Amino acid sequence: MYAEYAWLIPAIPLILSPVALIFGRKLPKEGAELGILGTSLSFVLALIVSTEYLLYHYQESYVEYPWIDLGTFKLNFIVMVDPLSIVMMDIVCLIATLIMIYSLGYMHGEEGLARYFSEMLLFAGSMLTIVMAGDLLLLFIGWELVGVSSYLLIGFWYARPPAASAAKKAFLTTRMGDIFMLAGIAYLYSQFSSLNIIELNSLAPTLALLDPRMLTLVGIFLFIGAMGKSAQFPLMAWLWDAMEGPTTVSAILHSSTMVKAGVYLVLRIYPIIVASPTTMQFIAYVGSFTAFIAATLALVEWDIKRILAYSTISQIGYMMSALGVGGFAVGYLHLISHAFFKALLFLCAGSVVHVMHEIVHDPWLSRDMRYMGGLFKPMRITAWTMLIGGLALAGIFPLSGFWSKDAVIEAAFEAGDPIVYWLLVITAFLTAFYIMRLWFNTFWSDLRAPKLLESHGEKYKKRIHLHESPPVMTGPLIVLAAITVALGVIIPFFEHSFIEFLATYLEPYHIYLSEEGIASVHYVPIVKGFMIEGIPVAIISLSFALVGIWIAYEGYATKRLNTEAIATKSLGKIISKILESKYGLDAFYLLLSEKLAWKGISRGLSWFDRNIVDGIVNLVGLTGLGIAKMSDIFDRYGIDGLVNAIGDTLKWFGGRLRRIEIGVIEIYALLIALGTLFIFIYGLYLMGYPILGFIFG
Amino acid sequence: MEAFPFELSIVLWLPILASPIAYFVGLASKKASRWLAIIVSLIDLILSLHLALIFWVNGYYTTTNLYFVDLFNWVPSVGITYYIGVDGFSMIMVLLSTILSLSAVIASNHIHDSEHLYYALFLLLETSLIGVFVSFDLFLFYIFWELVLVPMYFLIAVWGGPKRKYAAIKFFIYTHVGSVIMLIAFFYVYWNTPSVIGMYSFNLFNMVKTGAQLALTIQIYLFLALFIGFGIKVPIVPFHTWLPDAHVEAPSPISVILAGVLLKMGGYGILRIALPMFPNAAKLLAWYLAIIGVINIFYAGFVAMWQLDIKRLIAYSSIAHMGIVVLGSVTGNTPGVAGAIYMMFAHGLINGLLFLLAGVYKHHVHSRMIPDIAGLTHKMPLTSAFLVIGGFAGLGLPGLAAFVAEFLAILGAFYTWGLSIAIVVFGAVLNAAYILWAIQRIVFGPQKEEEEVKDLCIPEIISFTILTILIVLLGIYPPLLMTFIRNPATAIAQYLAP
Amino acid sequence: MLPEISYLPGIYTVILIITMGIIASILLDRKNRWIAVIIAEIVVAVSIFYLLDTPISQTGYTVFDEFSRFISIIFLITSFLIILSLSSELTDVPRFGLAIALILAANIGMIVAVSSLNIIQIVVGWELAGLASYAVIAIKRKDPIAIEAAMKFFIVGSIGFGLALFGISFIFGATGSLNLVEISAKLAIGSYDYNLIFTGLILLISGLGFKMAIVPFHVWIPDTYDGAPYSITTFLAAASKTMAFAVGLRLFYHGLNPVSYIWRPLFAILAIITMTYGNLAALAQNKMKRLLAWSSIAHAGYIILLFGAFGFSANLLAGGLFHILMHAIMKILAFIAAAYLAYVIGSDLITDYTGLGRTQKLVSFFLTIDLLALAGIPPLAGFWSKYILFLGVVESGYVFLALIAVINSAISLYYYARIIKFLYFETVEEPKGVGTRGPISYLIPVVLTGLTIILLGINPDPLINFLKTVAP
Repeated sequence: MYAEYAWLIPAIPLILSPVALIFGRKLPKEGAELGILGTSLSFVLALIVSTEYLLYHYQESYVEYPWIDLGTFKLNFIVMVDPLSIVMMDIVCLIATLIMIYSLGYMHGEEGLARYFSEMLLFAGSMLTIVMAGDLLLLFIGWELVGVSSYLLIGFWYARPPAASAAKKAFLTTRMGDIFMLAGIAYLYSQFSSLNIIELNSLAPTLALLDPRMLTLVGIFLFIGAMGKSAQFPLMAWLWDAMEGPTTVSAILHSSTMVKAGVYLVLRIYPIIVASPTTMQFIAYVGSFTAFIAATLALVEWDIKRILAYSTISQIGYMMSALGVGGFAVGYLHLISHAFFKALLFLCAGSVVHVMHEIVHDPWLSRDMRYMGGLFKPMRITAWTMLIGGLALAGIFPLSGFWSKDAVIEAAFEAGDPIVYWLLVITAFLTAFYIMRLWFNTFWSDLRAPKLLESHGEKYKKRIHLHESPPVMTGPLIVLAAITVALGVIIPFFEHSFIEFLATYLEPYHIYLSEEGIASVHYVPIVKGFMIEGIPVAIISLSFALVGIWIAYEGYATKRLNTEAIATKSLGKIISKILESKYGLDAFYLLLSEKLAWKGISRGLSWFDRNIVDGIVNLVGLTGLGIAKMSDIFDRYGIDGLVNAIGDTLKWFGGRLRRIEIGVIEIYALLIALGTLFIFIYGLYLMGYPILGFIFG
Repeated sequence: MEAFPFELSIVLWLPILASPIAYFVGLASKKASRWLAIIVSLIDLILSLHLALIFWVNGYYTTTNLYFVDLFNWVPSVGITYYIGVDGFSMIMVLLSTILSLSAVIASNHIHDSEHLYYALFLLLETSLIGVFVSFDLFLFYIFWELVLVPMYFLIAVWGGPKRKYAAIKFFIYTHVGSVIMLIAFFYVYWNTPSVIGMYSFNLFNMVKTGAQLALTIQIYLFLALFIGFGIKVPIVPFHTWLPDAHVEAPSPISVILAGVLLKMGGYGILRIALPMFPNAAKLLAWYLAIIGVINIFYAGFVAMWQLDIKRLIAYSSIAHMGIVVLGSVTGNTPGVAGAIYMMFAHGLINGLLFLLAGVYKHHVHSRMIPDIAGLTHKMPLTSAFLVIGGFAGLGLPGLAAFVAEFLAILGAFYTWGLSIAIVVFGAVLNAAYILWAIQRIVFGPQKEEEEVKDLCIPEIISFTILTILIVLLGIYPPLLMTFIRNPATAIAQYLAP
Repeated sequence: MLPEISYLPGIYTVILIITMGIIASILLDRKNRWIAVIIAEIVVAVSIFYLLDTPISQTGYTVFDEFSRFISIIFLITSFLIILSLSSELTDVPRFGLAIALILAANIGMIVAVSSLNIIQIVVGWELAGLASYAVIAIKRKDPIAIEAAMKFFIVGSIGFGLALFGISFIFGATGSLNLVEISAKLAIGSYDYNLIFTGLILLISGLGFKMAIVPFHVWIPDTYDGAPYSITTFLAAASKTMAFAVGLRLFYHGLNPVSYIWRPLFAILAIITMTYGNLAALAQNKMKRLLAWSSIAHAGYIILLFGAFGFSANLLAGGLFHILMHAIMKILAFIAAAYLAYVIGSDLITDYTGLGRTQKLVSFFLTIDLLALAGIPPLAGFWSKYILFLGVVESGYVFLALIAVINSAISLYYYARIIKFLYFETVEEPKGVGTRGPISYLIPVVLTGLTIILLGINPDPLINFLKTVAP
């Protein structure tokens, strides 16, 4: 019965968003009250709805709200409370609330706070719209709103050009995916006359038999939308630029909203995806490849936030590969655990940046790890919580990341695709390495900022007081760290029931989940036997991760391994160059957008428009004017001139003869003769002489 | 609830009757003519809202009949009648005209030269615009159609920018040529009415009946004539070059009317006249027309990206949006047509807002070039906010009006042509690209400190807020408009339905 | 009480009345010009009412039918209006009564010309009107330009008249008759000498072409119109030309219609040339009078579509007659308004009209209305006449002709609109004509014709229905 009010969960933040924008400035905390109120109200309601759902035997609820009614053609909004949405909405609301509280401290003293909270509310609200949507239209609306609110938030410091350009890049890149999704949606609609996700899902198997090509196409189209939002290769370049926004924004964007939307979409339409093996394979390859690529990028990065961004892309890649190999529950599980530890990591990074900013007074340097170090002592809470987050990310037993990531790798193993499997395993190693590199660089040894700043000739206040962030910031850190640890404890016990719980979503479509949380669909080809049987998969991935941590320790804590030397030597140099240039992705996008679209097509067409299209018009106009002028000239100088010329001659000859009259009579007689002649010619024609037939036709 | 007798006629004629009064009153006091124009536009808006309310409350939208009809014989010997009325489609177009007229007249506070003449012409313009949308006698339609040109020509030519004469003449010649081409087609059908109806008749429905019975080849020629005639107004590429010039040179309130209402006349004509009159030809040509729509979207999108003059940019974005109208119109299914109609209304509001903002920049910063107006966000926060909202509305953001239209039109296009029309979605990226880039250059970026500029004044805030609220409202709650559109769209779609 | 003279067509009575008017105006001229004007106006007014009231009749060659009634009333109304304006324009002319007398005499000639079925009678009337016109143009004897204009007109008119007469003699030779009814009957049988008829026709068309202002016989028009006093120009444009069209209708529709296959295509080509040439040339004019002269030529092009699209359409004739009427009315307004403005600002240049819309509101307004009507802007009367004429052309099956006419009509808008633009939309620092007012005798015709244009525009239906019953 509370489920009927589920629409309020996204609606509350969405409604409060403009309120915060308009009235936020009048409030004592400049709108933070409304921000926290909005998300926490939604959280409470989400808790109530999900509790009710669990208590009342998984009573799903689909409430339809008519939106567009064109007689036979109808588009309704559907708000859905089902296993997928109740988990996600709780997570989104919880993390959003925590980040709102954290923002109180982190954003303190910034200009335009009302705008910030309004946009955050919009962000949370639109993500919740995606979560609750039971039809593709509403989902798409939320999808686009997520895009625009991320745009606004990334460009929050609008006066900074990099922020502005990052915001635009984020919006356009994700929109590139969105339009494929739109095409997919429109195509689905044209085939089924419905956008109801449940209907479409249940139609998918039938279609797989009738028209598999189309189904594949639709699946891939929708997935490309997800690729854009979830920053999968090659639509990933926006995410690391998006670090120009406030860290809180990154935290919410990476943990529970925006980038997770893509994964959530795939979960939502899983029956459609599953029905096409090609789509599945595509997703698995894109996911695993992205996971690997992004992890390599993190190896050479020095920007603390960007490393986390790469790690997000990489982890989303894990989720996507899981979904691609059939790991429905596995992918969802990783999504959940990642949501918490990634929010934790970002908030920790924010805390570090917050402190570093007081030392270096520069938004970019404050994120550069080369300036950090030795922060462990003054910032114990941040350091410890970040270690927990980092280890969870690295997949170390028994934190939440271990269980979920291990499950993903296991699913890939089960599916039997060696490429996906090995890519993921190697990525696990890379992940452990780069996250611990980050941690050691930040917290180990001594603060490097003073030396570096002095070497750059800048003034440095010696008497700097390194301190821990305020409780309003560390509070959420502790909560999130606790959740990460707790999840690590809970997951092994509840994994099974979680899978069962999710299975209720897929069962109506005759898709069943195995005990490992892998969808049992016979469409997925399974090739077994490329691994030595008997060695548990978990041990392999865990040992890879531990090796990664050990190398990071040697390289950055004890410095026994000279990382700098490796990076500047022959092969290492080439590799690090490639990695630093991000495989040329940024350059490629620049080429595509600025060189090709803007300076090429746009300039060319503008020239064409101005000179050719408009030129023709002006030419026609001038010709018309010319004809008018000519006929006037002809009349004035041709006929009159002739008249006057004759008149002048006569005057010259005839002395006192009045000139014009005589001239006129002469010329008039001439004209009469000409006119009569013309008519005679016509007459001859009429009489049958073939004269001037072309005139009289 | 019932309308007053002749209420629609009053809505139609009130501005033109007030026009000479505004002129003469304005000779005595400049303020007076402005106030008269505002009051008359307001009364007209109220009356049209009243009509819309009656339309809604009485459930007239459940049929496709005409309401508030005034029908008199005018020149019966040649079959000309005074026949005005509205169905849902016309009703919303009348509303759009009156809403934008009021906004534009309020925003005319920067006009100080020959105000009396300005407002007299403006009121004349308002009547002719409304007239186009309510006339169901094609002769009357044509009169209003042509009458629009006259005040518009002078409003551009007298109060415009530096190249105003060139722009005005270009506008005039272009659209006039279009009208003549259109007239030829009208006339041909009219000439054939006696063989079908038994007498000469300019009545739209009689002409539609006649047009549908002509030979197919002739239908195709006539349809093309109408399409070009209306298409020049729309405008379709390559007949669009009058529009950027006219928009740029016209004073901002007039740009609002140009973009908001004048372009819609083309779309209205296509939907109301061209498609029903020659359905067989339209069916044959639908695919090519759709391609024209798509070309519009891409061509104008790319050209817009290169523009530095904000008004020129908005002008090209108009062309791109009208491409969606053309595309939706010829889909031959209800969502497509409804999307086209919705886009006409939404685009009117959105580009109206954007042109008003361009006017604000012009008058507060004395430039419309993007490099000049960039970096003033902290000096003009409200202007920037409205610009961002307007821009987002323009790129079809959900929750704002144009999204509904774009979505429906694309849905309709897919419904008819399937994946072969899929390229149209790339238009959305292009659209987003140039708008976002413009916003990035204007709103974002390093802020200029030295200049002293004022933000919006109260009347501007009111006018912009109303437009914004409408844009948002239509984005969240489409039934407001869809109710009016539903039946006309279904009826029009049926003409093209396979 | 006199017994009713039913054996005489009303036309003779009118001629009698006007003749008395001529005598009176010549005699009274010395005493007071205004008396002459008033008497002339009364005479014209009485004639109008008399003609309106007279039943249709026919006596011998003289016929008084709806056609001649309609056309004669156009003459008389024109005369009525221009006699008024003439009274103000010719203040420095000593023999003012003579001018009025000449105009009245021209009226007699024109009425006779359009009320006859005998070619000789037509020609006699035509020449009477012509002679009177030549003289009246030259009434300002001190004005060399007017004299020049008169001279040109005289010579051209004589040549044209001579050609027409010559042509008629051929037709007489071919058919042995000068009665249009008989000619028509002879031609219908088909027993005629083609060469004679053809030669006669072309000479007749050339002769008429001078009067109708058809290109290429138009050359005298701009000069004469420009040189003559405004009111006389008005008379030429409105009445004289109307007579030419009416005579043409009589001849070609009545007498020569069996050989329409010869003259119809010729007229069609001439129509195209005339309207196109006239419009294009008008585009470049900067003098109001010359512009109106060219516009007059262009309109002649439209009107001779009556012959060029000769067929069985009822609307063609109705539209043609309507347009003849409207052309007369519109030209009266245009020329007299131009006279008024020239009086106020002392210039005939369109560029000097700048800002007059604000200083001379009434005249500018009606001039604007008139220009719009000339351009064929609905719903003014000028539109309806053009519309029905073109509709007739289409009905007769000559769509192409109509198309060219429509395009021409569209072109013409530009030069008319240009004048309006100067009147209202050009800004000038010191507007001319502030506080100056022209004579009321200019205003009256302007207002009357202006109101006619508007009212006929609002309700043209009765007139159209009436014109459908009119046949030459």
